[in-house]
Amino acid sequence: MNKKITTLKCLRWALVLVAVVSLVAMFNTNTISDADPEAVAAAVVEQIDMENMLKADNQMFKRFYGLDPSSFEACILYYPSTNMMAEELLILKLSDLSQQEAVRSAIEARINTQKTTFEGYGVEQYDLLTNNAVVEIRGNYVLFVVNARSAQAHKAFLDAL
Amino acid sequence: MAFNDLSFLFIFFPAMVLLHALIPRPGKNILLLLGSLVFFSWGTPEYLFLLILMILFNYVSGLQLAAQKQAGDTVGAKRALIASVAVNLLLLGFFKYWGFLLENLNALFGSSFSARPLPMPIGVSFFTFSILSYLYDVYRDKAPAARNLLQFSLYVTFFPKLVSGPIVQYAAMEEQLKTRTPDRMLFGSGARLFLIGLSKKVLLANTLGTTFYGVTALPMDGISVVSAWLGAIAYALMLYFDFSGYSDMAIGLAQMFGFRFEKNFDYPYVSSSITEFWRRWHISLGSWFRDYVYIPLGGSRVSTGKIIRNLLVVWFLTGIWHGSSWNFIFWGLYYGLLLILEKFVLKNILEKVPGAIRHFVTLLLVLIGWVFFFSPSLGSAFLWLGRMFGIGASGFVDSTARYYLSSCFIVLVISVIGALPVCAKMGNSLLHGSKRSVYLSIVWYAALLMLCIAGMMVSTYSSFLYFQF
Repeated sequence: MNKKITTLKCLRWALVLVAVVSLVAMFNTNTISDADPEAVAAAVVEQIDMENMLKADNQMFKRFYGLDPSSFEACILYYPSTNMMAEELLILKLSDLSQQEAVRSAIEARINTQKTTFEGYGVEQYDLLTNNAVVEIRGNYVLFVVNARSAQAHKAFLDAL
Repeated sequence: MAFNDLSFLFIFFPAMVLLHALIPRPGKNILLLLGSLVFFSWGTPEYLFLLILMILFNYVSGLQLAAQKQAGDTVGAKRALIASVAVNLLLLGFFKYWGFLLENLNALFGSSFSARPLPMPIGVSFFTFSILSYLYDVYRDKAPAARNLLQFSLYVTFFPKLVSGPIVQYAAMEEQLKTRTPDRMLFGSGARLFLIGLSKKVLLANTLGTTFYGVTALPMDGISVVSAWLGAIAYALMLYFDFSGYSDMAIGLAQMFGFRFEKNFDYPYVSSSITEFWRRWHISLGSWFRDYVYIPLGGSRVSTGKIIRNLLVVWFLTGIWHGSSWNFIFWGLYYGLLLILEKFVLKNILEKVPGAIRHFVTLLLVLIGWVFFFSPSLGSAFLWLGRMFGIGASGFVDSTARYYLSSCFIVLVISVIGALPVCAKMGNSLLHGSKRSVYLSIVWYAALLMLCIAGMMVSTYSSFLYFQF
């Protein structure tokens, strides 16, 4: 019996050790950025044509994503001036990393809604949503961009963090 | 993945139900475990390895506890229990309270520790409490240590209860993990409960959310008394339908896979006292704190001073369990003090007060509590309360208040009726009445399903409020 208990004790602490090592590894690879959200947005905006884009208010953000804008440290959303276009740019600075999952689901839902809207008649817009939509959740920053130059915007976003 | 995601409703859930029905009994637990791990990994895949490690750690801890007790080493078993509980609490604390702790240390000592928080694994508060109940049950011989790793893993990860409970105690689930008989009636009742929960969330909570988020987005200086009350009432109803809806869906799903869980809500807004309210609201959390904190501290069988201490400890922990912020701690202690007042000071007086007045006062106190719950800080909570009672308000009623009141009036009325037991009684009598009423009931539930799907297609995604805890 004593041998069994000793084996179980050793196994237990070995598991704790592995858990601690994996946590430390995650902790070190997790990226939290102190970058100014306006500066990040400016770097991204520089890469894409903003001529037909409007800056959204909090109500618009709520309507599009079903999330409470006041729960984020910063929330910057641009949407097209006409609803015949699918371009969109969202930059969020999260207050808490536990928000990542809700934001990811909200963006996925937004993409699906837009695809349903444009499916059938807006071939170019549907194609944009299918092939040029980028979602990047990097630590406390989130980028969602639908644009022909989304790859460049994505790179600028990562560089700005 | 959440129960109100279209991907859950149309892919994950039907696939699980179909496979569960098709595969033979020995494979059912394996399927449910694999499905639960996929469900967990959907949002935070990086934590799957950690979750598996925690399952293994607690499985081995349970075996060690049992072996030490069998060998008569009670001191060793107690030490093992304390160490295992500490490991689980440290992990929970690391994810949930690390940033809060550093923030307060910085404020206290002027230091500049920087918090580099990790995203919280989904359901960490809930599955940690499930694990703690297991360890304590094994230590107190309330349940045997799990020998079957598959069954123990399923107990921890079972996807209907993984994210937001109900917190099912191990002793209550142990037998069902080994043997449960598929039952068509139970499946049907589970499907009905799931649909009721989905309707609460999609049709009521989300609609009330439009009013609540609209009102709380107003600048604090421009809020009238009526707007402030409307925001608080909309939140109270939204939170109830959101969380009780989630619980109904979780319990309903569990029933569809052959598990029977106790209800988590029992019409809390009909309560005539705070004590009664907490017997009806988030029942599984209240039971957990009663069984694993209050009673081990001595419960009510100690001196008055110690009962007060025990109540304050329980309510401090209840508050901080909900979130790492002073709001929640204040909210918890607020209820602790109210319960102490009810139990020791006002008991005799309250017995003489008419029921309607007790009910009104209870609702008022609960509404005040929710203001601390939804406000981003203690300061803004007091400002909001001030607006509710006219301090700093832009007037008694303004055009914004009229607009929100008129736009949500119908849903408010439906929600108030829905928060009363009368709807469930009507639903049950329809379902168990004549053949015609049964058909009517089927049409009603089909219509609810259609409305929910339509609601989910046309509206944006709306997360469950209790996911953040």
